Amino acid sequence: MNHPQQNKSEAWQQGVLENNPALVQLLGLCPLLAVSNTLVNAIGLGLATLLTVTLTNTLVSALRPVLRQEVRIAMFVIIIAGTVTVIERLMEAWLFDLHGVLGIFIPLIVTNCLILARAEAFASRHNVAAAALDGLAMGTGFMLALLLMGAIREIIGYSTLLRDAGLLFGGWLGDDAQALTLYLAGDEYHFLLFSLPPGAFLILGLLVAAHRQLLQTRQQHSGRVVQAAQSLSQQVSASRQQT
Amino acid sequence: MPDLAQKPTTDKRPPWPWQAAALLALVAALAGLIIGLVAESTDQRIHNNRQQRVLDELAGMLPAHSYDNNPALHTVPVEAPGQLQTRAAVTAYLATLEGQPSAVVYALTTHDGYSGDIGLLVAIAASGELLAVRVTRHQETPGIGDKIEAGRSDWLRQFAGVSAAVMDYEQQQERSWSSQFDQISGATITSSAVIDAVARISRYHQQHSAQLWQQARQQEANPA
Repeated sequence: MNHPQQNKSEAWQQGVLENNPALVQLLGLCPLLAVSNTLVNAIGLGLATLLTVTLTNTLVSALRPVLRQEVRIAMFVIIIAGTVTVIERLMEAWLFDLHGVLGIFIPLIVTNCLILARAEAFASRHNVAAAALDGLAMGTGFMLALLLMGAIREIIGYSTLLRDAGLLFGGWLGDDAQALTLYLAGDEYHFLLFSLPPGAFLILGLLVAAHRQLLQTRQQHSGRVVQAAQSLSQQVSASRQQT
Repeated sequence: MPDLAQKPTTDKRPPWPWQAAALLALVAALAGLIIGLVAESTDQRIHNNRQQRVLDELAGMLPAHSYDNNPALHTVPVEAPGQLQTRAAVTAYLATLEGQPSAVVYALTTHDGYSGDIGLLVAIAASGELLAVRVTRHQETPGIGDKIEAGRSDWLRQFAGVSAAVMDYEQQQERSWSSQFDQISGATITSSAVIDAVARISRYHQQHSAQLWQQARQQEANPA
């Protein structure tokens, strides 16, 4: 896992599936549980996290030559907090409409331990390219878990999908963005438990269990494939020796 | 995780605490410098963006035929930071109909939010009735405190139609809001910050709106 020579597809497999930051490492649960009540919120936080973890991973890796063992964590904290602050200022200055949508999620990212964990466990031990890719893959994995939670909680909690889409896509689509919302039941339907934090815990538990099951099935499956391949090659070599 | 067993790529020199401390101080100073430079260079743009946002929002707050001037150009600075408990500048946008006062829209900032400042617009008609309240910027918790945005919930609508005298009266009752206004569940601090700010500006309006209009007339008489 996380071997220096890992190739690209392995980084993605690690980040999205086998070592998913939210479902396996259980990192960054505070923002994950708080902000996954609707799909639109999940998209906002997911994008903001993806951007930040990629940037901080790259920066931490680039600063490896001057890192010192004794003060590395403090340096990571400075780098992460500085990056997040700079991102927010630049966004508010140059991408004001996007800042109006994602702005409230950015301060929340500082509390996401996923970013510090990747800096310590990966970026500080690998070259810039590998660290950036790891940030991208881990950020995507986190975002996918967030989207899944957001979609499930919104469907059960509000019986809609992409409610308040105008807040996120209004800048590009104008009033058409409202049409993105999918209504699955009447307007009065609310299952409050699932839009509040307890619902987030329930859904997260179920998702973690489902994800384990998926990984196990995959492993058994690939195990059988390996066994079959081994027995086949044994048969082939045995038949070669006979001839 | 197995990769934790790997040694991070740091130098192998013997630990020398002063060097590490100096390095940390250097990195912190550098980060501070970069943030300062970015803050300095983006300050004007951010200010303009926020101003534009206020003006955009302003247009949608007043009833269409209740004014015939451009309130964005008809402004008076409000000088009562003590009473309004804010360190930021407060501006009054004046709307008139055929030269007569129609409404005042106050742009103010409250520092009582759960996370950072909350920018507010409060429109009060000449009759003393609150027309609308809007949030122009905030950093409250997504999914909880962000319900103060007009686009996310109709919480702000409860102020429309309330008379400024009632808001003011409630202010004197020392936060006995519960009977009068809904709070957002899970976001008591956020809700209180907005309600208190609206109450303070309502009180200010009761006492000083006549002064504001007079000030505006003086400005018109002798433009600076």
